[in-house]
Amino acid sequence: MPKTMDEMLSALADGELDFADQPQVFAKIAQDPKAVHRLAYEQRLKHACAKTMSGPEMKCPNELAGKLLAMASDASSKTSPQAQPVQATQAPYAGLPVLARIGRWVPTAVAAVLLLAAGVLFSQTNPGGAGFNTQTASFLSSSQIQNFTGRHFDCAERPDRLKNPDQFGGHNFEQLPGKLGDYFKTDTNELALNLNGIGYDYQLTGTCSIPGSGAVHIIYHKQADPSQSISVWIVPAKPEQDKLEQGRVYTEVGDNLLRPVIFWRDAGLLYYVVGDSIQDCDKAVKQLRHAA
Amino acid sequence: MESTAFRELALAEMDSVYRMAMTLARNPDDASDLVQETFLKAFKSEGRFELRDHGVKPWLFKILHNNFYTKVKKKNREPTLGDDVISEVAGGTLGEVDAPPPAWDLEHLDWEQVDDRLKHAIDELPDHYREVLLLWAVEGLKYREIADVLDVALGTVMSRLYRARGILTQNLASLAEEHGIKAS
Repeated sequence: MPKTMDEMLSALADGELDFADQPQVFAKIAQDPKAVHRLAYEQRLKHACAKTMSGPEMKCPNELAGKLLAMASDASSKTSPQAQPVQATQAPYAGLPVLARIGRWVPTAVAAVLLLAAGVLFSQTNPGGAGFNTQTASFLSSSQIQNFTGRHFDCAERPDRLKNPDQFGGHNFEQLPGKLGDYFKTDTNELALNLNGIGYDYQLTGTCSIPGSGAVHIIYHKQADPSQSISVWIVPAKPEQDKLEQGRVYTEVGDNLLRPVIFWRDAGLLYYVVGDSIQDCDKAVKQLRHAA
Repeated sequence: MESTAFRELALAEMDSVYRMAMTLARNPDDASDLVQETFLKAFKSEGRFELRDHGVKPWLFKILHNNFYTKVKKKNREPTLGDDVISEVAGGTLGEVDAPPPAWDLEHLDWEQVDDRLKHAIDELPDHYREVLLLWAVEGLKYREIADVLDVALGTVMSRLYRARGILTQNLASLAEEHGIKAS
């Protein structure tokens, strides 16, 4: 197909002009100053198109990302049951042209998914992890796990959906420990509830129907990326939950392998954690375990 | 290529694949389905993938592209429109392909104001043009890679891109006129 001068000028702007066409195009540029303006325009148009076509609505939603990771994990478990979990944390991501958001969490997530798929507890093998003694538990049903992750998505994105936030001091974190203490009739460790140290800001607390009556839901957003959040639920332990060993941390994994529910029992209360980064959840659990 | 490494490379492209799916499907639900089908096929046939200079991204795009148009054909039970027909559908203004696009003074536009108009103009483009525009402007593929993904000749990529830019430029020309910037 013969190329027009305009196509060739566009090709030059894109750095794609054939060597054989260069003399003809350069001659045109020498004769016609508008051709130079055109090259500048073409480059600006390309930049504007790139900006317009890569808005936030064009990013892969977290839920879909979770499904893809689960799919990869499934493929992994079929081809390699042991799945080299430790090596996966050393994935060669640093050298890849990975978009920023994905680049931050995919290596960890892939590693964690592979670890979970292999039945290995991530905290025990993750050198940066809390190192606490966790175990998988058949304590929550799959629908309960889904409820946790679903509520995490909803309320982390829109903390104003939390009920009765004023009862816990609204957005004022300083009031939260005292208010929680009043609510649960127990002393609460303020320092433990403050996740600033792991890079998360307190957002809001409210009452929640999950996992049951009397529960509260606390939301934290990541300072560096507010689209990443951690949800913490606290609820009085019921007598039938005595089988949960005091001080032991449990994980339950549902369909969304990226977001396991991590929970433990402490001083008559049950704590549940769900977040968008497994690594950050690991740190949060370590911090929060001193809450009561 | 080792399986785990392949999957990691593929997963690292999920935003790009989703962008292309959104560009073609135009709604999040269909885009999500397309992306899942694409990765499922990719994982199943990863043994056939060879890591070449341009990596896994064009390969994933090719799977997605084929998947989308197979669905479109099944749905419509009619052949895909050729480029000539697309030109007419796109407003009948593209017949004069060789005529220089107007208003090179558009370089004096306030590009911060261009976003909404440009977004609308891109949304109005036929699928074939929008797809090639995405692969070129956002994903940074070379003409040859785009031709490979779309399974068309190199010249077709150039002309689609040229026509797409021409339509966008005409839209921006009217914006320039509204702002009193004289078209040359």
